[in-house]
Amino acid sequence: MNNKTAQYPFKFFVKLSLPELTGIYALNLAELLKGIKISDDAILYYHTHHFLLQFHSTAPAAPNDFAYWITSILGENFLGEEIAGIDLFSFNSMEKFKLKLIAIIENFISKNKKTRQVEMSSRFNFMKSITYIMDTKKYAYSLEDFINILQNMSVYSLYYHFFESSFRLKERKNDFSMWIDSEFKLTKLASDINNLDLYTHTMNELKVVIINLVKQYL
Amino acid sequence: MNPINDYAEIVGSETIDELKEIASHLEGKIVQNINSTAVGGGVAEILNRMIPLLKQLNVDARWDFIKGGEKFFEITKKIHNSLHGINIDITKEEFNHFDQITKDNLANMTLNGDIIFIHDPQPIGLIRAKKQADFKEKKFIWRCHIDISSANPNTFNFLKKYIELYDASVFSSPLFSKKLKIPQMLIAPSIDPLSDKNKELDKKQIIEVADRFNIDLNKKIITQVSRFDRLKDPLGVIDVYRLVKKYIDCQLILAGGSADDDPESVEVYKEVLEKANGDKDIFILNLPPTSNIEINAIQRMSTVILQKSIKEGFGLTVSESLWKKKPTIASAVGGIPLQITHKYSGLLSRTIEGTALYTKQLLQNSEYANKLGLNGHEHVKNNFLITRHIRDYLLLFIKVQYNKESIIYL
Repeated sequence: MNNKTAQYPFKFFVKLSLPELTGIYALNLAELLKGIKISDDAILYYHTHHFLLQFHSTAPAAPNDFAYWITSILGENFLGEEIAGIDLFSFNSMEKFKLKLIAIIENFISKNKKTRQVEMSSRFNFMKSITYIMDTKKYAYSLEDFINILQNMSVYSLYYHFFESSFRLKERKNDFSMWIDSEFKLTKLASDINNLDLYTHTMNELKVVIINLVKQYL
Repeated sequence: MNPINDYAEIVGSETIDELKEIASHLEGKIVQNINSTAVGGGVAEILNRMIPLLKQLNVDARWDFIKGGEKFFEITKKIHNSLHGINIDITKEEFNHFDQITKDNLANMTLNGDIIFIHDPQPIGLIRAKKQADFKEKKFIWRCHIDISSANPNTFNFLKKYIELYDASVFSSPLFSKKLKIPQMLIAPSIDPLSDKNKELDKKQIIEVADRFNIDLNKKIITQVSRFDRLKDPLGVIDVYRLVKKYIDCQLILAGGSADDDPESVEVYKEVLEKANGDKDIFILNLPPTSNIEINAIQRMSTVILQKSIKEGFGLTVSESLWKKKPTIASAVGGIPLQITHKYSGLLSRTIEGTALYTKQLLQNSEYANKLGLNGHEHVKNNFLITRHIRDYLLLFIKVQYNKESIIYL
């Protein structure tokens, strides 16, 4: 049983976002590639992460908008699957992910000259979002506090501490594991949480899995 | 109006706590909403529910209307249709009348908001007030509830000179937007799960409504709930029903009404009556705008719900139907594809024949129909309820005060 009190509490934040249209769109693969090349981190981040918040308890069909559009709208299943399979967590910056994405699409285009042109209503719209980081003023000083608060936090908090953290910290780490490791020296628990496959669970599933892992140490 | 905390039962207390926290960052600000009608249509319906909830969150939200007159609203209906891409000529004299009414409203209205939130094209010209010296600190947002992607260029250019004076614009779908010099935010509209139109009803209430209109609950029911508007294609729905009726004995309910700012609806209603030609299994219900319980009951008694629009703003009746777990077939136009993922949370159709085929499939396969309805309910719960809509608006009101910053720390 771990009833230690942390020297530094875990401060729960939420990350909220408001989507913004960029006016850039693609009707075919070449235009998608062109759009990706001029996209900044904010655009790429939006298209690889917003689905996580749209499907709280239903497994998403594809883990990013590029893969979804290429598969479902263009009908290029092989390419779509390859892009869906890119492990975002193997990149510590959006720029590196972007280079990988460009390389895969360029390679495909070099071998498959003819791809579909879609109508305007099926276009790919490049978007980004305004980000809001908000302090919830809920602080955990023990693992028990941590579970109790996490149980009642929205998926937007989980999103901030679990997904966004990798890009903020520039390595595959999440705020929960960092705190558990530094405050309670529970290296295995921290590592188990860190190793959860973020892109194959829904947000609600992840919350339950994390809570159950921590409960084992109470 | 339900207390905001009542929504916790549906969306979780954490969501309500979050709304309260976000709203606290708007303390001392007045948010003034302006549109053209208090009743009828989706905009008035959303504002009627949202304003009291914003007030409960301690946001000083207000709602005012512009005044127009019959001629003005005939012109704004033309503008509305022509923004939807219908080929209509709007004369210079009509645009001048539109501008004159804008000036009259500016002279008679008090624009006292710190954030002035203008809904749709009718009051768009109020942005002229921004050039007043004491209005420099005020933020103006234009909320476009309609699909302007295939807008008549003449009409759009007339409005564009106003749109680009705003601090930000808001669209319901990425497909609705145009290239503009101002930020374009994406905010989908919503339904209120606790409103009379969407709350749970007991069986007795549903039976009472069915009895009142002589609807047979033992016979399958196809329904479309919409204003009597050509863009909702009520005549096409009758064609669908007739194709289905050849194989399956069913009833059709066309339930709708008219709005103050839609003089065309009376004409369309007559055309629908004529086309129904006295068929005893077709129920054409021209309901007053207050018939929310009736609409709710009609949706809940339906076997399949259609939304066969030719053009749509967002098509909130689709979310209403999905919220009630009803299998729904809708045209792949406007904001409908955001609400329905084909063969997952409903069916998307494009033609009368296709809609009739899907209707037959759903009427004959209740297991499949139920699955679509359940998935649709879950999708609406996560994305199209009023609590999400309020959150997005609060974030928008905060955003316009931060100019071009892309990360805002609260």
